[in-house]
Amino acid sequence: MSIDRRFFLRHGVAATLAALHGNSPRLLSAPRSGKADSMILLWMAGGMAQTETFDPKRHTPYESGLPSDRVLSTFKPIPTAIDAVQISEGLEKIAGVLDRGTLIRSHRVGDLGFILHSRHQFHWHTGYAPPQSVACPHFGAFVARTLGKKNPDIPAFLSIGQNLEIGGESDAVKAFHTAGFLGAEYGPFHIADPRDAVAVTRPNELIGQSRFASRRELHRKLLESSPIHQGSDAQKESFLNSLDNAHRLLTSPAAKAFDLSLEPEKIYSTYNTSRFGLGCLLARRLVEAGARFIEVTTEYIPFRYWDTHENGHTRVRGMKQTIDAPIAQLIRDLEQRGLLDTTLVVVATEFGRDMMTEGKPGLEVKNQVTVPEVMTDLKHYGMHRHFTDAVSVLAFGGGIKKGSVYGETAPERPCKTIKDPIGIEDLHASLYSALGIAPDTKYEIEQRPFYVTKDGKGKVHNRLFA
Amino acid sequence: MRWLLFFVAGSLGAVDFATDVHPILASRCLGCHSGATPQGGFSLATREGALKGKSEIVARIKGEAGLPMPPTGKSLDEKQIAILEAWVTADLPWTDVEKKAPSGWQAPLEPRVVALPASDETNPIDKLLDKQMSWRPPVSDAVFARRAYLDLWGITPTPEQFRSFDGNRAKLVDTLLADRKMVTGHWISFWNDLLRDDLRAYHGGEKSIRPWLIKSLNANMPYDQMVRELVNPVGPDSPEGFLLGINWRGDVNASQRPMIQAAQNTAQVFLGVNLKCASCHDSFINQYKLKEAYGMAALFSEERELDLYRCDVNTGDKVGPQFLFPAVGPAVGENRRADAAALFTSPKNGRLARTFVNRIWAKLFGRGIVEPVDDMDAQPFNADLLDWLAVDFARDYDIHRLTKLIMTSRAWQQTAEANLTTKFRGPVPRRLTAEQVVDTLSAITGEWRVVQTDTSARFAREWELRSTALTRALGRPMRDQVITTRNTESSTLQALELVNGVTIHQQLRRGAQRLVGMLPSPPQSLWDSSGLRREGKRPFDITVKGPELHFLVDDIGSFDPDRTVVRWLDLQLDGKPVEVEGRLGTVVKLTIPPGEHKLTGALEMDPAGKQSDINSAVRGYIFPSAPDRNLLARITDEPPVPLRKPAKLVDDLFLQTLGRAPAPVERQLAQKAEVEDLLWILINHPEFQYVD
Repeated sequence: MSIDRRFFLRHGVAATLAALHGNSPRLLSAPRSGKADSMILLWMAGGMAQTETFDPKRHTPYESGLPSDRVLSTFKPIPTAIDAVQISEGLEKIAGVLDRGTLIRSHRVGDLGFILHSRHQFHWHTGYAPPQSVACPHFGAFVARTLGKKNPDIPAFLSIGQNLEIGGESDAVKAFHTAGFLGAEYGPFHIADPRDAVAVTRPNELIGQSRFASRRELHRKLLESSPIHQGSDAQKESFLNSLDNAHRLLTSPAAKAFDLSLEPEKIYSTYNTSRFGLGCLLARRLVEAGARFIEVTTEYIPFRYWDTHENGHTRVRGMKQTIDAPIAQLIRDLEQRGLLDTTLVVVATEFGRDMMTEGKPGLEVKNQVTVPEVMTDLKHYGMHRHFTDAVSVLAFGGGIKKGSVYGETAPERPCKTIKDPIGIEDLHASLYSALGIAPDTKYEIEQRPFYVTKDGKGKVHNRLFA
Repeated sequence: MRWLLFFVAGSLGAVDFATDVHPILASRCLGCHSGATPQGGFSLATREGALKGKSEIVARIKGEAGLPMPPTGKSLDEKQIAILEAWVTADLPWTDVEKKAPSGWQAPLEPRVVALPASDETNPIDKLLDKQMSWRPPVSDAVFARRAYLDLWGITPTPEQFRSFDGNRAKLVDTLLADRKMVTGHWISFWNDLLRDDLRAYHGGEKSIRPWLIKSLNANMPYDQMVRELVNPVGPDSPEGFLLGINWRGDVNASQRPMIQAAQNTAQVFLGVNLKCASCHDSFINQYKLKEAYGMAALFSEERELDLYRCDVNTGDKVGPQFLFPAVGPAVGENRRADAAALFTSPKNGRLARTFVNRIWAKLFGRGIVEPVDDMDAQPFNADLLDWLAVDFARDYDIHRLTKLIMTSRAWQQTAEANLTTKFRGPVPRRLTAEQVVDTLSAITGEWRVVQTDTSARFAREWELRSTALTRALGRPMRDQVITTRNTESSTLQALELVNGVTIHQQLRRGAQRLVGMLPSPPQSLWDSSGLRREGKRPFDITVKGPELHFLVDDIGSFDPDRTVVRWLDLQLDGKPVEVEGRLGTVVKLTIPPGEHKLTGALEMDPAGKQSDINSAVRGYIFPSAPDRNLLARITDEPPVPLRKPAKLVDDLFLQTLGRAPAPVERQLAQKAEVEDLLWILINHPEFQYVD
């Protein structure tokens, strides 16, 4: 497995050398639409209803006896920092920073013939729909592999918030939280709960700080005392180097980035809406410390969080409370620190939702939720089916156009994408491009090329960029 | 061998990367500048890596700028510098020292009988290698024993096993092979990787072949029979899961439909052919065509004729069943799978045995006779050796006989050396697998993972359970694809699991306590509901003793533990109602008066009846004192390996991990350490992590 040589030629040796040795690791001569050198993906796991969040339609208040097919949005629209652009009630703080980025309303997710959350998530995160004949790398692993570490003591790729043992879909979730064939070095440093972040970057409680140091010292001494000639075996050297790196990370000053208690109380409490909120704070600290790619998820657990199969209105209101303040604060913090230009922040989800349509409009897909013709209970009020034709995505920073809306959906059901559709290949191409990574960047596996966007064919949508 | 020639100023003449440049890199540079985390982020392991530092190489080795390289030891001599300088000037020409160029090589299909050359060697392998080997002395008995146990049982020998080894190597191999359960416990991971069998489900009708596999391995089933049953599964106990493949619900790309997966997997596993490219279009990387891949797929599909899709588009053509190598013949008849089984295992198909002996060779030597092991069209380093072994193996397809033949060869008993050229010198150092690391640690400490059924629980080896963060970090794969070579790279994330992971540290803590007899024996439950699934309740009427009771409901595999609802129902102590909260995974303590009492009630699952789509599974317990969360259910069977009490702790631990006694200075250092720390140090010792 090796990076395509053309890629290096195109990017230039000088730039890559800078990436290796200096503090300025960007691939300077890369063809790029944007200028980001790191990315935060805020993942709305479970399928965030677009008409209830960033693409509101006609609002119909709840009343008993309301025909289900009349309801497009259960929240009122609110104004945003972009003139004449409205989003949904409950997202006031994000509305206030919307002018810092682009709201994409026309992301068409993969049509996989059957709705399965983990499969759509796999598709979104790797660009490839499973099953695949080789182990596909996560978007973050491609970024880590291509851009390399910015700070040697901070993992290039971190994933925050997803418990990997969630019962029956555990394996499906693990299947894309991986660097795949790129190898473990580029895989995610995994933090299930941001409140534990500081613990996982310190010697664990079973060892303790001082014993950790003395154990390492004894390890070193014993290795030196071995009567066996260890030779100059690269493999063994590499093994010992990896232990050194782990020790260094666990004792490095850079590990402070993981310690949320170092944040001022006021900032901390703004973010502290939920594990997700604190994940956003952790992501910001990690970007400052030199991470390349951080995913923060609201967490996927079947039927939880954004996976609203019933009682959608009430539950979405709760979800908005967990995401609104932290996302807005993240954007403001990055901007204030001058990092928004170099940090691409993306809010995305595996598919949208609707009350009536399941899957792709016009196609018969097995119904997973029963929706009564007439609502008789508040729990019927909400978007309980899965919708693939239009999903909202937010993108900030990294050269993304400010104060812009991209794409449009129809005002009436099924509210399909009617302008500037952008599929996963093009969306990824645009995001990679914002990071200076060409969409046809490829790595070799089993002697065949494997591209960061499917078959290397993702097209950058230039109008997303300033 | 593809020679890249270039000129060096002066008298050196033509310089070859593999023979001139690479030895310098290997002896003086690669120690630091290679692997997953090379020093300074600069790797010389690949040309791409070298290119990144090209402009600095000469200045560094001449000591003209920056930190002089190599930073320790003697500087490079003039000749070495001249070679590297010329190499840099020529823009770093590179030959992959791992790969052989396939130029002009045509892999034979039929078996080829090779006459053994005259030689003083006795083992046929050695006769065949004699001419090309400069034999070195064989490894010591201790190294041999360690290798043999690790390669046959997957666990290092105990001090007693070391001591009782009398030097009769063939006998030791026989003895180890005779313990089928131990051999299966190690080799099943190779088979699970190869046949991509795992404990998982992606909602699409995967089926584990594990019961069949265990039975086959325990019986040392002949390989050709295994292949016949895998390719043509018949009956309820057959391994049909292999052909079913990995299936996610919904539409899949034409090239990933179940029968195409079956074509890819049977070709890769049994014939050493990569059909993945050719499943979508005529391959760019080998000679195989789309139609050939579909011909193979049609051996396994529902319908006999398949619509031919090129890059997911229907071409309108139809393809019927045809074996990848039609020359093996005859044409496929009515019963396609039975015919396929006959074709794969036909005496005329030399590929089957060649591919398999090469896999076993690669497992035991760390590198195949043909590399990569999934490209059997590539040229073997010794075609006579491969062909002789294949013909010999095909006499009875006895896997144990093949294994013994290799392990008793002089070639296998050579010292392991990191091999820097394609020249075969013997085994290369091999990284222990995740399973070998964890099972050995368990065997030393008696601290095993627990596998439980609804009614029983026992200690188990790593392979029997789902992977952990630790074993995934150590290279145990998600088996979504066929895995024929484990990733043995070291990485920071892997090291973090070793250095700071909770899984390994719990095992070390409990293991160390157990080893020195300090682990409290776990309280036995007063009541155990056994597995309770989906819904319903399980009543109890038991005698308990004060002053306290501990109630626990443990999840044992619910689809969605978050939605699993349980409660303790109608609890009465001596006929008087008591309340205990039913919280999944939380121990609830109830204080009661001292003395004997009668406790009645029931554990009820899902009183609301909402389980239809989430398949809850729990097991409830009542304990007399705080339970040991690692040992809730009563352990019935003996552990995979009996726990031994170390006689001389430090010496025994060294022997069981590194395969040697400590030197006096090591012993002195080790005696100062906590047992737990010493175990950690030894587990993270390169002498443990590699099989030399």
